[in-house]
Amino acid sequence: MDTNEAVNNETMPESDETPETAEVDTPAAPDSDEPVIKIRNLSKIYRDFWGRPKVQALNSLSLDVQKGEVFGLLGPNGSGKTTTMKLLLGLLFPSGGDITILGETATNVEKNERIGYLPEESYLYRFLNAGETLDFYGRLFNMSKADRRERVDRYIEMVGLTHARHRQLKEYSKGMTRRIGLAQALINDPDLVLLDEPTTGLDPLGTRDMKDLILKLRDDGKTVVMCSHLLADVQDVCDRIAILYEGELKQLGRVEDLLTEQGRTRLMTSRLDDAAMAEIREVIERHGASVETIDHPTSTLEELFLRTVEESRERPGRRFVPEDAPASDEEPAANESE
Amino acid sequence: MSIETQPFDFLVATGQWAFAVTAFLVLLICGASGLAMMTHGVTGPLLVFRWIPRFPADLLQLSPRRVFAIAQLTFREAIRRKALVVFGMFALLFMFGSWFLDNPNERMELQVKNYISFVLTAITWLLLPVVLLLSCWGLPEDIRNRSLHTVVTKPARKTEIVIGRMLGFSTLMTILVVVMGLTGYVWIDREVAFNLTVYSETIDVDGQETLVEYVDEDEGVTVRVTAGDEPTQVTAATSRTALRQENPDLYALTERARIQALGRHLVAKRPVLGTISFKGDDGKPTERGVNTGDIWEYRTYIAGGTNWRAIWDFENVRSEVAADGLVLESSFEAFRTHKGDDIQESLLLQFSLVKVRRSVFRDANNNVVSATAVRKSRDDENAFEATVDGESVAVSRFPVAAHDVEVRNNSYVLIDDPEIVVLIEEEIRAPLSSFNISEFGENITVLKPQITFYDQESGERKQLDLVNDLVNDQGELRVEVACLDSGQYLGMAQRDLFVRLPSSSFAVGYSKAICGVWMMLGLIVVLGVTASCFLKGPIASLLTFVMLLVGQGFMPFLEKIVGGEVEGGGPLESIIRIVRQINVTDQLPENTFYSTIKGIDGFLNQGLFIVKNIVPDFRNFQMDTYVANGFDVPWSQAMAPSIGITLAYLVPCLVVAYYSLSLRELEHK
Repeated sequence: MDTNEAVNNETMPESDETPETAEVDTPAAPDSDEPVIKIRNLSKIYRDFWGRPKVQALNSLSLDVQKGEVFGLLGPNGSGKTTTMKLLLGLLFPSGGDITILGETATNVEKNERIGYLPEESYLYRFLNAGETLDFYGRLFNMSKADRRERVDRYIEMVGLTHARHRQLKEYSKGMTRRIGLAQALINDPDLVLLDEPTTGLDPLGTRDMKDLILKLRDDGKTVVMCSHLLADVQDVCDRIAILYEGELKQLGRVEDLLTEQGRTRLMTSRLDDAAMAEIREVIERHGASVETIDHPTSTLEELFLRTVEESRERPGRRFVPEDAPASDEEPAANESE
Repeated sequence: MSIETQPFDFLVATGQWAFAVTAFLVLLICGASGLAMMTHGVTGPLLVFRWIPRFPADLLQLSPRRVFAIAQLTFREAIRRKALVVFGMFALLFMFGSWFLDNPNERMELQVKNYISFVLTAITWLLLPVVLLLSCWGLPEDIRNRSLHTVVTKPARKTEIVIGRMLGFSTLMTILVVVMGLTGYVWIDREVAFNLTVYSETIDVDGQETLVEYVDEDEGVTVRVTAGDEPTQVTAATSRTALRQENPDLYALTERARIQALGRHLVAKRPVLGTISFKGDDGKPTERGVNTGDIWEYRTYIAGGTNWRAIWDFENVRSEVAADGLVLESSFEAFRTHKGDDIQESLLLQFSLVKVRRSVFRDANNNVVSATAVRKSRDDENAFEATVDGESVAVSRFPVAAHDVEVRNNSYVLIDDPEIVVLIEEEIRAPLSSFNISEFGENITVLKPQITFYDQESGERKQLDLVNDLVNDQGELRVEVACLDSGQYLGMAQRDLFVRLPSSSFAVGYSKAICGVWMMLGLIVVLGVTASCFLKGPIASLLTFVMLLVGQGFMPFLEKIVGGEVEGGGPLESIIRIVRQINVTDQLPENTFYSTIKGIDGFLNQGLFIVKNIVPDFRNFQMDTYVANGFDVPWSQAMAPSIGITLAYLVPCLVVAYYSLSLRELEHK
């Protein structure tokens, strides 16, 4: 019997506490290969000191995550996202169901060789500095000294912490801690990366970097599973998502499939004059449809912020001066903001 | 000849350990199976058995690199938690300790004892709480902070985490012990040297024995030098510094004598203990001497001016150790029945060296025959015969070792079979010159290779070879001690007379005692880390502390309870006796109620038996008594058991720690 089976048997209730384990239709994943993560009828019940059921955190969850995709676990607080993540990592034992991760059981230590994990909070050793932290985790992967040195330098640079390399983590801001947390998750060049709320605590630049990195990991053929309640972030990077609510799977599929409204059409063109607009409206009505809104598209606040910062880097010294501001001695820069 | 009275048998110890661990594991498996059966039905025990091979498998795949990484992390964590603050407290103690310990009116050896005891006690009790708290809080804090999540989600095995933790704390503890031990050694050396204001030493100056007597008082320094038959040279100076400036040669001489005196006070004597027995006024052997009414019966007494004798039998007195003679050191306690002028005088004592032959007899069937049934054969004076079952049979003589014999009912008998009386024949007796004993100090008697004595039978002086004439074929030497002062009594215990081998350096004995402290703290680390795998910090600390408390202070009491030697019965019976005010010596009524109570007490007693055998006996680590009293720490009685205990707990603790960590949900609150 494998480890997971043992755990399941140990923790699985025998009586009517057994959760419903009816098979759930698992939507087809994009890749037909053996899934990197296979979850079947997974349940988790938290119990009190006397063993009485307290909370049903997960109920008959079944899903697959395929190699090379970015998979998002969504849901409000308490929906079971983090519980699922911890069950995958063997930090919790399931009350029922099976987990296969990289072909191994969840409690098998060997699987960790190919996994990187960024916890929700960066639970790192606060008395270590960035270099010591990555060196420590590198040693847990049995890396040689030269290999560790090279990777520590590379990942510290990658997450932009070279300037704070020798400061203890307790002196780091939340964003910096997330960055070093990400570096430790990637130190072993993992095949599967589990990210729990990866953008929490990051500024928009850091968020963008994180999202770029996730996409780069996907391009490199890695599998990424992330859970978040920041929907925009998930939408930006995930190929497929699962939405959980109160421990149950409510939605599962490709992001674009789930978001596309099949009953409506949006047409986007360059700017049109009123005559052209009237003509188009007429054509639409002739085909039996109705125009719901006509407006000018806006960019997202994130895009605006990133553009502003980028331009400020390229042209330092320029600043925004409101039109009704009193004149100063300095030559005001041209208004950059739009 | 060795200072080890009874060699520590690692093979036997390993066998007992294997038995105890097997019993423990069987109990553990039975308990787990029972629990699993309750929660999982009939398949429960099967699950338990499937988990069993995982520990050895995990241990076999252990990676030293990961273990050292976790050990280094643990070490750094402890350092950054300000564990080294303990050095500050240690320094404070040593800066001001001498204020309270120095006592110029006390004898030097007692002062030395105070210094050594202080240092070893300070090291032990300063480090104990630090080590205990660090080892008990490390893992639970990691689990609470979830730092451990980032470790267990890497390929780190549970055994690696546990061993790494133990190794990290042990490394820190080792550094603390070594630094404190070295500091303590320097402090003791300096304190003794500082307080050595009076000494008298014979040193070799240009091949001539020279007596240097030195007194440093408030009035100044006085040095008296006597070289051979030369007249005594007396020099006085206002201070030691002045002496050095005024008379550098003499100062150098006093320094040599001082170093020699220091070496006498800071020493690790190596005693060879013998077995003790007594001979009463009627000449018959007895187990104990006279009871003088001392409530503490460590010593029993021999009456002066009578036939009472205390007898020590030393073994392994071979030519390789005794060829140049032997040194006997003794320290006896007097009990005076009359005072007067005699109170100021010390008692007169006499040693006699006796060659004895201890024999048992066996018949043709190799059965041992008691010496009381044996007589010399009428036909052949070298042959023996005995009456067995009413018949006279020929028997053969066989030697028996001193440590196999004890005194019972005024006879020497075999320890293994007290029914068999051993024949003890005195072959040669050499009474040595009498001497006055120093009651509160050590008496040194040098036995030269050639013993000259006055033979009362022939009235002549005789000379015998110590090894060839007085030591018997089994390499045994008997020393009889007689008190010659009538009306006075002299108290004796086994350790009061011993053969003193060339002393070890004080540093050796001190290092062994420090090693004892180190091993005890190592065991605390092992127990603390293990407890922290299944308990939270405060509870793990409490559990480890209770184990220390029971193992250190309450073990004798526990042994008495388990052995049924405590009056008043078990816990329930005691409660009933207290409530009903029944005296502990009164018999309880014989009825069903009391039988049931006794039955339950018996069951509880079994529980205490398990506790007694699970809790380590921390008394074995206390080696400071040896060193403080100027003795070397014997390997068999102290070092080997300490090493054995520390290693013995390592394996079961690892097993418990592994399964505790593996079977708990780290994320579960």
